[in-house]
Amino acid sequence: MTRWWEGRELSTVAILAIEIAFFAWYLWPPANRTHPFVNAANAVLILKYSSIYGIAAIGAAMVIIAGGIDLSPGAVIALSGVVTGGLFVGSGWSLTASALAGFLTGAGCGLVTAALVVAVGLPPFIATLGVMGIARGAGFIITEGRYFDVSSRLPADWRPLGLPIDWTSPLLMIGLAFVFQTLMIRMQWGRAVFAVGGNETAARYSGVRVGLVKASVYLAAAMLAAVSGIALTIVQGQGKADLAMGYELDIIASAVVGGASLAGGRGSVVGAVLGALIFGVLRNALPQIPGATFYDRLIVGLVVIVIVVMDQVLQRRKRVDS
Amino acid sequence: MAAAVEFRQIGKSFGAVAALQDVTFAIAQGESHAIVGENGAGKSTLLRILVGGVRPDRGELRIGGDAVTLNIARDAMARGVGLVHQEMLAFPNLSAAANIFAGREITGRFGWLRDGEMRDRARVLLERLDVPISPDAPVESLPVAYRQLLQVARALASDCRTLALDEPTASLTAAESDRLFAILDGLKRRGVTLIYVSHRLSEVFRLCDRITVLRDGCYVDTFSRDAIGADAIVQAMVGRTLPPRASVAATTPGGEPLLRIDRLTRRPRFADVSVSVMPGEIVGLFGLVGSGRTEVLETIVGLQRADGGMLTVDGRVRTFRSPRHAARAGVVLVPEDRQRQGLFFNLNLRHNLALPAAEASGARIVRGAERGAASALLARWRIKASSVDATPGALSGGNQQKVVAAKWLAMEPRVLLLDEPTKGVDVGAKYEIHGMIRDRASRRAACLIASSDLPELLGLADRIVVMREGRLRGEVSATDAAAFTEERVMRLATTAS
Amino acid sequence: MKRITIIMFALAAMASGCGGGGTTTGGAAKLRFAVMPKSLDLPVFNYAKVGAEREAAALGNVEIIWRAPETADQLRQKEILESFITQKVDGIAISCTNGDFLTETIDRAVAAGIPVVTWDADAPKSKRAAFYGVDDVAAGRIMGEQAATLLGDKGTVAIITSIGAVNLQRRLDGVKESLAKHPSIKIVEEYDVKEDAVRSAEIIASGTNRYPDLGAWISVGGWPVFTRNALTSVPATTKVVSFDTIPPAPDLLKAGKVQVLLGQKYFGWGSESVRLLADIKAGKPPASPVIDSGVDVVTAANVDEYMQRWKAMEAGR
Repeated sequence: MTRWWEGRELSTVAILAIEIAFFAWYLWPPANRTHPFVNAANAVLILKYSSIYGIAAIGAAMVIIAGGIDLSPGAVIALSGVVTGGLFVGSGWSLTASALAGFLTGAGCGLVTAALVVAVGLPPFIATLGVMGIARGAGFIITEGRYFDVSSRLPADWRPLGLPIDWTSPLLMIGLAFVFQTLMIRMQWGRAVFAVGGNETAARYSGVRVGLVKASVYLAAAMLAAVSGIALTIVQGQGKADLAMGYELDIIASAVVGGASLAGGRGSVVGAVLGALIFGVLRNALPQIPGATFYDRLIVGLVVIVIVVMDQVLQRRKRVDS
Repeated sequence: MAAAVEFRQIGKSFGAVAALQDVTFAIAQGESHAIVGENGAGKSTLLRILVGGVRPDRGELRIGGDAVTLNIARDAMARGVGLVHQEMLAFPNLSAAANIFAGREITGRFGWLRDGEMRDRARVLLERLDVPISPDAPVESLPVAYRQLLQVARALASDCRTLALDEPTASLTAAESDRLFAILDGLKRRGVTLIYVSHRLSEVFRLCDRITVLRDGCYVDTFSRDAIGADAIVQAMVGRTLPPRASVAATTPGGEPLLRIDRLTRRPRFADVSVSVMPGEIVGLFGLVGSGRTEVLETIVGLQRADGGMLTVDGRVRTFRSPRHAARAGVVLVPEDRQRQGLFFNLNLRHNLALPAAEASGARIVRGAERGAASALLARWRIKASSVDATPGALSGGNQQKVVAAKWLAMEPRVLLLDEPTKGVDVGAKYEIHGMIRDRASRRAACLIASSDLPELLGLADRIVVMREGRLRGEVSATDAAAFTEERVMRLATTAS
Repeated sequence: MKRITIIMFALAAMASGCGGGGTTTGGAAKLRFAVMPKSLDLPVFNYAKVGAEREAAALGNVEIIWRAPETADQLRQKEILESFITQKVDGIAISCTNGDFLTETIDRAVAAGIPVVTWDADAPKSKRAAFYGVDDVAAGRIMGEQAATLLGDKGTVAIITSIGAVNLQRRLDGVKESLAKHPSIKIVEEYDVKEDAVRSAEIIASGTNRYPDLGAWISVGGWPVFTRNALTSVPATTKVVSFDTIPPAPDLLKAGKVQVLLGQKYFGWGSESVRLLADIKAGKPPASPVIDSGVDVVTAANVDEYMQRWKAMEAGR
């Protein structure tokens, strides 16, 4: 666990590479056209949309490793964006202050989840389902079904920190992936997360502060979802309550494809980001296959099953019976 | 007549580790046959091959004279082979009757479950085993010892001709063990073949006609019970002569106790328990099922809150909020159930061994130096594992227990609490663990051991405190040789005062 | 790495299953037009697909890529639109879930040399070359007037819409504008069905419960008439005026569950926008940026004749 890259991350990278190679071959254009899939603009596009899921998948991976589950990221993404947009456009706050408020809103959702799971003792599924409803509902109440047009107050060619705006989310995703991978692998806290997910009773007996660890992963997950939501709102230009509907399943799927086991105790933050990219590539490439319009869901479902089944088979072979 | 069970050149490897090599011997019909050996000798693996849990890589298994290939446990059951496991495998959320018949439910037409019939049969079995529980009792509410007896009932329910038992008395009291032996004697008389795997040589000698010894996956020899003594068996198992058990030096501790509990109470489990342990002293906490031993230890270390009473460590009154808090004060507990309470199967040994110390010291960063320290621990304790990167799932039960003990002892605690430290551990490792406890005691730590293994306590402890049904019944000291006997302790543990 | 071999096989199987790869060998390259409805789950768009493909076949050198998110999701639609830009398709015809949201992206497509036309739901602030669809406000007004006539100028009305789409908003504006001229008619509630036909059934049922004496339902989208049973809870005393005439709506009208239907040019959405794009590529700009397709007002009086014309169009003009 202390090696920065585990076997699992390497094979997830390999899957992503094969996927890209496959589509590069399959979508090869006839003579006089540029390649629709393999070009810089398309790569940026894939990264841009994958990072909506990817940033939140970092948090989802940590929650799943700790033995829990989080159904709220989609709602938190939307609510943070709504709060940011509302303050920026509706109340005239500065962008930084609005973003901070949006971040704190997301963190607040995380605290509620943490309290429900740790203090009250609700099963995480129920607790995050509740928070999902509350956050989503709050978004609708604040916006009353309309949206905040953030792009109206941003300069047309705005470049945050001198970079093209489309690069913001991907860079955030990659940066946060590195930060959290280090936390999980090199810090005692990260090891405690694995311990709690692997055997909560033994963790308690071993002196781990189980309640604190659990609370911290839910808080971190909500904060990451908030970051994703704020970036989404700024990049896409709209704070809207119905954004990211249903994204929680894709986010969890990214984490699982990246190696997280829903039983807890196993997973990888970098793997989750790679998982988000795997789905992002699929989402981008499939529209380019004529006639494949209605096969989307089927293919995505098949890919998930294949990857997870292979993972199980490999796990079983590795485990040495006593 | 064909042998009941015959192993011919059985070989089995798990990855690079050869668990069994070329094992050949036969078990006659109707005999009771013991298989003994150290940890890693291959006993459990051999049993698993017999009951179809594992397929051998090489060799042949014959049951009743026919060469068989068992693919799943049901094949073995179909051939009349039943197994009572070492690790308690039960469905805690189901009733006792459901557990007895799990997988072999009695069904009527269309597969409807015949609950009534199952409950009746279960009741009969439980009465025969003298287990005072109702067939409807939910298993999760039963104490560990009763669950063990459920295992036996389960095997009996399937009318097997060959019954294999893997450490069945590990969690049983002497009384319960006697009951079990009576039942096994009854089975013997009915011609059932018994295969008995155990570390407890006294039981083996009481019960079995012949004894097969395995060592390091290889077959050593088969002895007839009448022709051999315990020491010779141990020597065959270990392959070396063990030093004689160190006689208990009567320590003369003076001064203040390092650990003292005064009238510690947690209703309804235990009340008014007072024990003192001097630095360098080893005190045994003996009691039968329901006596409250585990609960006392868990309360001391902060897993539970006491209702009343006082805990004093090194002269300071303390109340520990959690095991973490206790560990930081140098008070640690080696828990009873290694699978549920002691090990992380998703982490490798290096992390398992380093975690408690890291948490107690408040470390923030995972340090590379842990690897070396973990390797040193594996070597010092002779824990058989391929490397520190192995996971506990790859280890045998005894080695797992050593890992659990090692990780706590590595913290060099001042107060060492242990709950059944050698349950399911082979003779060689048992001696090693005892040696470590003595080593800790010699460094002026206070050791309090809860155990139902009376010979172990008699050999190890300076004093034995006896509990029964949540209360202290008495105390015997090693200095008083006349009183420091099994009989005396058992009397205290079993009779109402 | 067993995992990877399996993935390769899965992808290869996918490829063969999808039929028709992207690899074409030589020959005159076809023009690739992306035709994007709001979502794949609204039956009303299927006719646009038919119309588009027919027009493409008639033109001969055009290939249609029909693509949208499974359910209306403006973010996903934008993602798909952006990927068509990076893919450098030859033309885009789109019905916008949220026109303002897509304005910037449409402009980028136009700047990259890809002509864009909108149909059904416009992005009026964008640089799209043309919009083909109904005049939503006028259509809304017609619905309001029809409802007022049915109610005899007084009573209560409940409106069904979906918040977000510009065209629906404008129809709604038209309805309210015309109803304002009839002060004895009161709008009791506006329901948002989120473009979901099943949700509309739920809302009609609960709305009927709440307002048993409701004079009329006005739906600015066809959700209540996309299925046969959304209107079963409506009592005979309540009138229904709805957008869209695709089956089974005419049957419902004949059965008396609906009184007035407003039909759009469904096949035209596809065929006209493809034709517009082809013309633009050939150097012929559209006659005007807003092309009113007109609405068909269908009532019990002309429903049979309408259905006959429909069958003719389905068979192929």
